[in-house]
This record gives sequence, structure tokens and C-alpha cells, in this order.
Amino acid sequence: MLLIIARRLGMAVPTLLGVSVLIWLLLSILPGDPLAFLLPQDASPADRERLASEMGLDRPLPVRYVSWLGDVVRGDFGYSPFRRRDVSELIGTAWKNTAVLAGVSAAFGLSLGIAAGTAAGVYRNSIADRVVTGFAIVGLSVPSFWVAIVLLIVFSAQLKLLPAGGMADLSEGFGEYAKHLVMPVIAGSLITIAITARVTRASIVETFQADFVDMLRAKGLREWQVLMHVGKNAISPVLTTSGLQVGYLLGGSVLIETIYSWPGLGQLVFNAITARDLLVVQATTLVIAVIFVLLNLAVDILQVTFDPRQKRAA
Amino acid sequence: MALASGPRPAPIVHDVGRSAPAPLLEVRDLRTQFWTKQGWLTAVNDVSFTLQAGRVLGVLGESGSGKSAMLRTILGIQPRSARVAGRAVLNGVDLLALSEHERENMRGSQVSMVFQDPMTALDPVFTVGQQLIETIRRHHDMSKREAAARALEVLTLVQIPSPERRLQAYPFELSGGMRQRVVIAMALVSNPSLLLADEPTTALDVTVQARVLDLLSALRHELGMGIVFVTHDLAVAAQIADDIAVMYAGRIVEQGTVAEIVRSPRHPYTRGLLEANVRPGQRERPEAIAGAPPNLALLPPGCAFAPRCREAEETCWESLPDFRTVTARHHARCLHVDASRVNVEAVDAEEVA
Repeated sequence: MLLIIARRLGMAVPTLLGVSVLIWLLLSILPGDPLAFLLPQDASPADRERLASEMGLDRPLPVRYVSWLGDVVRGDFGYSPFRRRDVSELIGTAWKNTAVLAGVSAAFGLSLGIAAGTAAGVYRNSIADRVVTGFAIVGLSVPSFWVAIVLLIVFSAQLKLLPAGGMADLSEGFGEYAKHLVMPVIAGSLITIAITARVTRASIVETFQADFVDMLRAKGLREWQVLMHVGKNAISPVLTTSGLQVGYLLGGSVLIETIYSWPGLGQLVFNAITARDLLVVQATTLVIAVIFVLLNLAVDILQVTFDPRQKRAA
Repeated sequence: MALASGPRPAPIVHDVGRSAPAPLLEVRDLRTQFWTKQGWLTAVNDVSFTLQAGRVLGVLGESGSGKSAMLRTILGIQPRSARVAGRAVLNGVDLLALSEHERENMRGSQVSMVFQDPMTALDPVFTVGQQLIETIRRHHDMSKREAAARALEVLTLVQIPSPERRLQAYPFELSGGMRQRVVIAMALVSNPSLLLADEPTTALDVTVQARVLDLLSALRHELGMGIVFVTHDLAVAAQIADDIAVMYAGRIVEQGTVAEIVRSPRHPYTRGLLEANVRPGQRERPEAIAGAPPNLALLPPGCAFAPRCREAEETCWESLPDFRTVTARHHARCLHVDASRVNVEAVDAEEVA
């Protein structure tokens, strides 16, 4: 097992390098001037060159990339002239906020999705199944930002039950803290619920058709015992999609965080892109890539613990 | 085994004899229907037979003849949507009249089943030991350790080498023959009085097949189980069974002892099956039965085999023939039972086996 982990982490290095190269290239083709927001309107070309050389922007792209990479390896993500902060500090704060939102959303969305999908799969073609399947289709097709705005109008503007945005500090009391989470969590986990429910249902239905289920019943097992077996066999695709979902949530939803002014990674990267704050964009992308790599590894380890046959594949 | 009574009127009841012990399993007018787009499909059609303890009934028929559906109905694991009628009395208890809860208690303890494909019959993500122990503890109030000891016992019983190691193994780590032994072991944990075997050797290599058959024969004597052994392979049936019932389109069309069925088959379908078999030394091509099995949702009113039968006459198309007695234990659902058109080159039981 340790060997697998080590090998997978080793394989992650080229992946991350590739991601960093790609994001550098993309940002360099991107139209827009990173200096435009920093210079006063009437700045002279000389001012401009001075600032560019201060920020190292006058050097060729490969040189800038290599020196950036060297800094990153040493844990230095650079300095954001826009926010007047170290990039690592910006990401550190935003990451914590996103982690809270993503954690609650994932716990809520995955558990609800798995529960609903299991119920639908076990009681196939029942009313419950139809409700779940119908909800899943709606959840997948309705854009989350639309739901976010509707929730805002109903619960904030009309009913005045929930705060319209922002994040409370725990010092303001847990109730206040939780209140701020309700709408972003619901809007943000809608897709997670829908996808997880669909995948779970499909996998449960398929597994119930396997021959070994007949055998379990032939052994006289109670129906709940049969369901335990089916569940363990059906979990693999659910784990895979769950890993991706958690990855997306941890990456920070730009839309949800912007609509509810949640000070997380999504909002940070959104603002950074608008301002051409290249170092922040690059660092955030790299962090998200690392999250995905680690999550995939975690999912693979879980897969092996549920299904020993996958040890060969891993 | 005794007889299959035809449906009313006046079933040709075969006298089992007053001294005969109460049968282990008595199936009467068993009927299983599935709902399809074409209406109710009758997979098992008024099947009746009796099995004495310690005997083996071979049920012979091609795929789709209702053999598997019959076993599943007796066990109670047919699809929930199926419509079931009739009786299946095991040791005096009608299985079909039990509640679902009571049937679950019977399954795996008094009546067990061995499945066709050992590659898919075991749960792939639990070890052999876990699956055995769970089965044992389902029916017996035992600690895990006691159950593990019993698991070891049954693995030894089915002649699995180094059983201690197999307990830790996952099914994918075992060969097909080994897996089928595990499946058999799992069926035996509670010493069932009845074993339902659904083509247990079909998916195996011929050499492995022979060994599994030997094992089942030995176990039947050792444990005194009655076995209903479903197969499409006449040679296999002749090797393991005492009696044979031939099924066609959901009905039993002929039954008798192995020797009777193999030496003097009376139903044209049975004869066709025998002729389709290759005997050792045979030069000419075996003769297949012309035509295809009927659609079970659109069965004709008469004999289901009539469309393929060379001897069919008008009555055969119009009404279903009752069972006719050939000898005390040999019956066939055919008008021509007495016609002496018995195959002169009758296949010898020994030859087939």
C-alpha cells in the first residue's frame, strides 16, 4: 500500500509540472496587460518599463517560469502588487474559507445524494425512485447560479431569514456562522446531490442484477444483509464521482462564492483574473491541481480497501 | 421419485407403496409466470414430481425449458414480479405457503442451491471465509470463531486443499473448479436435506466437471441429501441421477429412471435429445431436433412439441395429452407412448455415461 502511495505521488510530479506550464502558457497568450491596473493613467513608457523590470516582466517567459518554479519549490509563491500581500498568505486565508464551505457542501451533498440514490435503486420504479430521478435531472440541468439568485431573492430579500452574503466569524456565535453557510451550501451542492444520486442509483440497480445477489438470497440472508453486499459492490463509481465532486468544491466555486461574496479561492481567483494578477492565478491553479491529485490518490486508496481486485490495477 | 400426476381429471396416480417413506420433496402443480409485453409467460407449467431423501432427480431440458425457473421458484428467489401457484412441500412444510421471513430461514439451512456459474456466484469483494461465516452465523447461533471452525470443516468436506488459506482468499484468487467447490461448501454449511443444483458443472472444464460430479455424488451419500440436478447434458444427468425428468416448454414431458429414459425413451422430444447426443465411436453427425423451442407466452393449446414432432397428429395440436404410464415409474406425456417405435439402436446408459 505504501509503495502504491509513493508511486502515485511520484507520478503526480510530472502532472503538476504540466499543469504549471500550461497555465503559464495560457496566461501569456491571454490578452490584457498585467501592468494596466497598477500604473496611473498618465504613466510614461519609462515608468512602465521600470515597473515591468521591478516585477521581472521584462525577462523572457521561460526564464520567468523557471525562476517562479524555483521560488514555489521553496514555498514562496511571490507577492501580489494588487492586494499588497504575499500570495501564500492570500491563498492561505481563502483556502480555509473555501475548505469550510466545500467541507459542509460535500458532507451535505454526498450523504444526501448517496441516501437518495440508494433508496431509488433499492425501490426501483417506486414513487420515491421517480421523485429522486426527477430531482436529479432538474438538479443537473438548472444552473447553480440561478438557484443561488432565486434563494437570495426568496430567503434574503423577501423572507429576510438569511444573510445575503459574506462569511461570519465563529466569534459571532455558531448560529450566525451556520446561517451564512445555508444558501451557499444548498446552491453549491445541488449538482453534487444530483450527480451522486444518479450514479448511486445506477450502480445499485446494476449490482442488484448480479448473479451473486441470487446466491446471497439463496443462502437465506436477510434483505438488509443483501443490501450491505450490494452496497460494497456498488460503491466504486460513487467513490470516483465523489472524488471529482469534492475536488470541484474544494477548488472553490467561482459563481457561488462571487454571488454570496464568500471570501474563498473561487472569489480570489476570479478577482485575480479580472486584475491580471498572474502570480495569484498561477498559485491558485497549482493549489487546485495539488488538491485534485491528492483527492484522486485518496479515492484510489479507498477503492482498493473496498475492492481488493483493484490492487492489481493500482 | 414417483410420478407426475397429470392435471385433473383422474390423475394417473402411481402407487408409491404404503411402505415408502414420506417424500422429502413433493412438488405439485407448480406454475411460475412472468409478465412480459406479450402477456403472462408461463415458464413453469403445472410441474409435479416427488423426490425421496437421498435420491437424485436429474431435470433435463434445453435452455428456456423452465428448469432454472422451477428451481428458483422452489427456493423462493424468483423475480418478485413473478406469479407463482402450486405447492412445494419439503419435509411436510409447503415452502410456497411460508412468509418471506420464514422462507429466508429455510433457505441455506434446509434447502440450498448451487449455481451455474461459479465465476459470478460469489460476492467478489468479500473473502471466502467472510462469506462462509456469514452464512453459518445466519442460521446458527455461533461465535465468529466457532463459525470459522465450521467453515474450515465444510471446505474440507468439499476437498479443497489447504482450506485455512482459502478462508483468507478472495474469489478472484481461486480457479473456477475451486470456486464451485466453495459455492457447494456454502450450500452445505447447515446440512440441508435438499440441494437444488442449477447446471453446476456447465461452466466448468470437462475434467473439473467430472470431479465436481464425483464430489456431489459422494456428498449425497455421505449427507443423505436429496438433489434436484438441473442440466441440459444427458451424459451428466445419466451419471449423477437416479431418475430423470425431461422438461419441454415449462412442462415435464417424460419421467422415469435413468435406465428407462436412456434405454427406451417414449416421448419424441426425449428421443430427439438422445439422438442429438454424440456417442463414443459415432461416425455420422448427431441429428438435431428440427425447429426451435416455442414462445412460452404464445403456447399452443395442445402439446407444445407438436410443431417439431414427426409423429404429431391432429389431436396433438388440439389438446394436451395426459401422462401415460409405460412402467410403474416411467411416464410420458405423449399419445404414442405405446407405439413401439422405440429406437432399436437405443442408447445404452453406459455408453452415454
